Amino acid sequence: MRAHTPARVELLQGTLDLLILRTLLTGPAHGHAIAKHIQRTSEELLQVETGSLYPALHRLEAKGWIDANWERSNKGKRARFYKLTPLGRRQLATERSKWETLARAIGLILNPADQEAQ
Amino acid sequence: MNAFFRKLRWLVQRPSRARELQEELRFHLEQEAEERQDDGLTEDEAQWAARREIGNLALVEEDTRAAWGWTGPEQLARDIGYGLRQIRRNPSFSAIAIATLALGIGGIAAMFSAFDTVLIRPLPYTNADRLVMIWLDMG
Repeated sequence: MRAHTPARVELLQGTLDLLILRTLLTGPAHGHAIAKHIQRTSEELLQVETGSLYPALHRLEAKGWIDANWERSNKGKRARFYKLTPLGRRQLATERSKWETLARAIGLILNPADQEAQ
Repeated sequence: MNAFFRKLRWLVQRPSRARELQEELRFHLEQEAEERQDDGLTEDEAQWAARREIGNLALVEEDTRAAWGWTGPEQLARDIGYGLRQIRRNPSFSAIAIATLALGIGGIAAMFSAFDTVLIRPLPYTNADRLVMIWLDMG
């Protein structure tokens, strides 16, 4: 039933944390919602495995970048909602600029012609 | 709050946190199944599909607990506990094994301390290398 989705891309090591932090910038969410948001927003190119998602969430919680609370989901069930802490917000800014620098650097090497043309 | 104190608190709350983690993953499973039911699967099919999606539940739990830290000390405590249980389970074998080790280590230690004083360490006098032994041969 998911055969229509294009070939998936493996998440690079360490980028899941960044994507989780960015997803929580729009507001608190539970694990399942975070996974679905990343999947949908990436046009199904990125698949978040449950086996990496929950360890990552708990690791981020341990670092104090996100905070967890039991709340009711929109269907009235108890769910563990994660929200960004001020520390996490700062971390997101750092990770984001690191990622953008890396992406630019790799782009410069992969497309030298583009740069020469400009 | 300091990350270290958070982890220390989690160590104390470990049993209740483990239960919460199970509930958290159960919620994930239910959400996934519901979503698949909305896609048109029957309840049964949706549940199985969700289980397949999440994979090995026990492994997910274990990996997540590893994120809390303390896995090393916990495993060490488990190993020690397991060792003690094995000792109790077969006392005569354990006694022989312990006696063998004790005699072996004790014997070697005694022999080494004798060799050490006699052959390796210098004698406890100044200029020990200039000591000579004098005796009378009355034959």
